[in-house]
Amino acid sequence: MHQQTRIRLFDIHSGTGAILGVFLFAVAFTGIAALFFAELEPWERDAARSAMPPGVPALDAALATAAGDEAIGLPSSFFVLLPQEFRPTIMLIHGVHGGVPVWEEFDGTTGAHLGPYAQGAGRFLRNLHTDLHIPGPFGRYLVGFGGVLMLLSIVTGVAIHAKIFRNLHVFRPFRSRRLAWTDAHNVLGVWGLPFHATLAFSGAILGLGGVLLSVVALASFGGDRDKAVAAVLGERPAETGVAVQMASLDAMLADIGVRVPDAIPASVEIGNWGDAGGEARFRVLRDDDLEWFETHAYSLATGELSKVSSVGDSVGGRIYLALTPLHFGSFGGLAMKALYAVLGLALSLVTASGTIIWLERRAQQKAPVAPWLAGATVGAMAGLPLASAAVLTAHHLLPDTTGRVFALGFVCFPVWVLATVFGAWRNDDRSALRALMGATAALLALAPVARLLFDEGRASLMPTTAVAVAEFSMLALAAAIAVAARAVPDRQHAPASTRRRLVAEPLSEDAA
Amino acid sequence: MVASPKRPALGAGQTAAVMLLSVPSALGTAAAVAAMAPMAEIDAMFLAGLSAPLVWVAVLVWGLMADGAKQALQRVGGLAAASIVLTVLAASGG
Repeated sequence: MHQQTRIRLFDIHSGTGAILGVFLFAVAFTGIAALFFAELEPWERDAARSAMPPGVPALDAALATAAGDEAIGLPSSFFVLLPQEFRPTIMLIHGVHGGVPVWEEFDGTTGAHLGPYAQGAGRFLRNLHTDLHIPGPFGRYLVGFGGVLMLLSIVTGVAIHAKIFRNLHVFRPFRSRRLAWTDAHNVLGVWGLPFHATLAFSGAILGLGGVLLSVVALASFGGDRDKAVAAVLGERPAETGVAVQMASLDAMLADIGVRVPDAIPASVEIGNWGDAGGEARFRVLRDDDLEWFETHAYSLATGELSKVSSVGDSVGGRIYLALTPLHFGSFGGLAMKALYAVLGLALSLVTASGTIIWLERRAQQKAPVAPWLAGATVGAMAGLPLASAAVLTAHHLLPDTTGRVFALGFVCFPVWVLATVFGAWRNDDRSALRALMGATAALLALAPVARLLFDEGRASLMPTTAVAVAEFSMLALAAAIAVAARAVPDRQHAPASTRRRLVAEPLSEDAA
Repeated sequence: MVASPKRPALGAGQTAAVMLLSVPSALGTAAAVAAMAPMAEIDAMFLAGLSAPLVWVAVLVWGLMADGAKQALQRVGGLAAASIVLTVLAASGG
């Protein structure tokens, strides 16, 4: 490649990282927590610690309970999440209050009403990744754009590396600070390249899917919106205005179990409830399959299966369906998620190290950014794990109500801002980093203590295996962060070469 | 801020403008692909949607590698205008 072209690509790569480094780090890091939101539910709530229903979940009983309860009721259209491994309850999503969907939880075995579902730390952190808690679709679009910029960084990063395979095994931690960060950036970036590219691409599609598919659907179907919607979601039966008795949804679930024994019904979407044109659409998937997803539609008037369909019938649809499990690692059990967490941490470190390299490079070129800005950048990055740990600890300190998810926001964002201000005020990025990492380790270790002291099921030290695994992971992570914090060197103990004012190092160090 | 020797620098505002103009370029190009692809409508829709982020990255690289702000905005702006025309034609079945 021509040297001039490489320099321009290098400028794009470093410019993207410098301007948007904190944003890309936030998207990458929150993705790690988002991986485990389902597994965290038993740690968060007593209701999620019960056993899975022995047979077909009591869907009819749950809906009868909801219909007979004046405070809940059943509208014409609603959505039900069926019991899953880490949440063996039935979740009815039946309306919107204050712009937020209203969720009611029912026992998966008896159908008894357990109360409104209070979202907790896991879903809060997951939503921080998927939409940054920005209202409407804009947060999702912003995160999707982050995926595009990450792809841009990956493409330009690969292009500027003249000796990409050499970077697989070159790590020189004891020469200069910039060289250590550069080698770490290159080693982690090259080893994780396929994973990082997959995450960035799938994240871009998932974030921007709404707007992308809307535009291209109009183009594909010649501007016929109804035809495009019908092609993806299927034709919906019209409301007749004739009231009839609804058929048994439990029987429909049993029928699916007989016809597709290895599949898992994940949810059911109800349309025209109580009407002769009523329809129940069960979404059925397989845990170990990337792109197998079917919709089984039943008539609610007769209870008969009317259609089995999947957007996976088309090649593009199959790829599209594979993106969500591919992005969240939900296709290979806990071991796959653990691998995703390690590779996700590598991606976070690649984005963070990219920003630090840029700061070091500016300092060595005698054009340093203001110390407070460098400190604030480090504070913002190290502050996000701290804020996440604070959310986990605060979960069990806050009342178990639907307002808890908002209260978690009042914990997370101020902690993040304070960490950023602390970094700027400390004027020494290393000591700020060490202090923030120490605080993160302490807060993370406090999260299991908070559960023991304040959880509704505190009578039991380790109520379930899932809780034990969650708490062991938190304590192990806290210990690892504490050890890593102690390893951050003081400025006076840094290698001599980093304390000298060096002339600008050649591009080849960053690119080679 | 994209800068290198031997070419005028793109300021932060100009870089942001390139990024902003790349949005209609990417969407329009994907829509045009969806309308003209010789395959079933639903296949064309999904494949064009999946290709959009890649097109977007290509547009960004092309725009940001230009020789100065004027050429960058000409490249991405021209592509955006052409894409909007193509999208309108495609969406109207033309």
